[in-house]
Amino acid sequence: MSQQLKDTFPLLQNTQHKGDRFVYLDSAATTQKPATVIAAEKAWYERFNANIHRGSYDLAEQATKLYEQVRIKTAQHINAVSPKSIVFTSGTTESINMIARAWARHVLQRGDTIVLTEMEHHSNIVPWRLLAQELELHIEYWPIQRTGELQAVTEMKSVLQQARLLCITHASNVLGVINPLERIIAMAHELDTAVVVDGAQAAAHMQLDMQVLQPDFYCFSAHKMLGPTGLGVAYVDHKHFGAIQPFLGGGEMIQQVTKDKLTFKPMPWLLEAGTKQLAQVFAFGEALDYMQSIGMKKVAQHDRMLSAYMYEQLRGVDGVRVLGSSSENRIGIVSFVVDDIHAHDLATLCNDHGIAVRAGHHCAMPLHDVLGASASVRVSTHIYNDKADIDYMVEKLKLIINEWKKLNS
Amino acid sequence: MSIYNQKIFKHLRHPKNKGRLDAPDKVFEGFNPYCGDRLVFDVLFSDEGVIKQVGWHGAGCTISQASASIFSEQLIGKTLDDVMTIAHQDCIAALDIELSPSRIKCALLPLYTLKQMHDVE
Repeated sequence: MSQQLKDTFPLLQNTQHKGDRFVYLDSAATTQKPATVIAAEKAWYERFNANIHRGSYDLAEQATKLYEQVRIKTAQHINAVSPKSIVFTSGTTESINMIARAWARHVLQRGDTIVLTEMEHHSNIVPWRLLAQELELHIEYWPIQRTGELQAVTEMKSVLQQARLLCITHASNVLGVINPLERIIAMAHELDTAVVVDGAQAAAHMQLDMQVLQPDFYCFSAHKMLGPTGLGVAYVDHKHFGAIQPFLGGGEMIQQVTKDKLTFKPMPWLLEAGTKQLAQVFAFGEALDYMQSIGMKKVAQHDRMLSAYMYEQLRGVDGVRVLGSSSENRIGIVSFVVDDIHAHDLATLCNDHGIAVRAGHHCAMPLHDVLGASASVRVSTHIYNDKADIDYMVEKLKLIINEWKKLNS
Repeated sequence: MSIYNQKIFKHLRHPKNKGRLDAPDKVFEGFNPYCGDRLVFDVLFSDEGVIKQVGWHGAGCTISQASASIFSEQLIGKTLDDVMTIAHQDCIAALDIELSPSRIKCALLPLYTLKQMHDVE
């Protein structure tokens, strides 16, 4: 991608840093924001701010319209049949928790089984474990292979047949691996198993099509998609609308409250209690426009090119063990460990060169247990990264490893 | 190399009291949920309740490992009540380095393990 594109991200120009340059490689945690998105959030407060679905004055009518337009834009972005399937939440974590409480809690029964994969983020493990404790449900884990990919879907047939629900990430936040979701969901549906997808990473890097994937629920976060923090989306297939019960009770989701009777609004407003993140929704619309102006196909291509390059470059460094063994089929995330240097030390030493990478278990402790690594370094990219960023990081990594060896010999 | 001084590397290369005790009187286990580091301290007391011997083990970064080594030396001769009075500033000062807030947690893991605390309280 061009320097011109990089320049549209003010933080990348402004950040105080150590080292020769600043290289942000932690987009899987949160992406940086284009100037237009930042400006949109400000513009909301300066020009459009009024509460939605309430006032009848012009400003409020306009606010409602702008908010609902982003719902339509979001539906188009992921090719959902209807904007009514788009629920705004505070993020992927809340989306998943909401589905667990507002839907699963009412349709699952004692003794039912939920299948989770070994590569899930804690956000797609803990809500289900909590629900399992409450309803006495069984949890089964879909194992990963040594390559870092999920065991073949055909081998999971009998487990999925027993299960009522599969909760699966579209792309691993540690390994970067993209799961063959279309095939998995088709098989699950054949076996009458519903599917909740954690799309937090995938939505940032891939062109999504709900009509092709056909998940029951698909969750993602705006802040990983060049958008504002504090905002996420839960896509809900309309076939589940009838089974959904309120999540939070309060304003907005109410149709009528009398002293002895409650009636609720239909979806998606049923799940949007209280005043929503109005400025953030508006700014998210701008983030979607930004990505659409580049084209999601191009965003995905750039991402694949960079992740393959990053994988190969890192694999070539002496002492580096990359987690997961394929450069194919991954989003812009590569995690690795280095012999004798703890991930935290590596991240601190990278920081000395102005390189921002993440160290730890990345909220995927069960996965790190399976991989036999207590912590790893994660390098993740987005549209503003290029090969030069990777080259710089790899060059400094080699330097760090060599210096470390000298100091310890 | 930034925060890593010779003292840290000395303890990394030659950690004090690293290993398990055969028959500890008490075993303390601590986690750093931020990074997944885990430390275990085996402790042997005298009849008077004074720490006679310490053995520690666990995976972790350089800072938590060096801190565990230094801290294990400080424990000898103290009672558990004495240990409870050790301030976290003392543990950080013992490393002779400047740490960012996230790495301070690494340095304090040994102390928190003994105090059975989860974070700065």
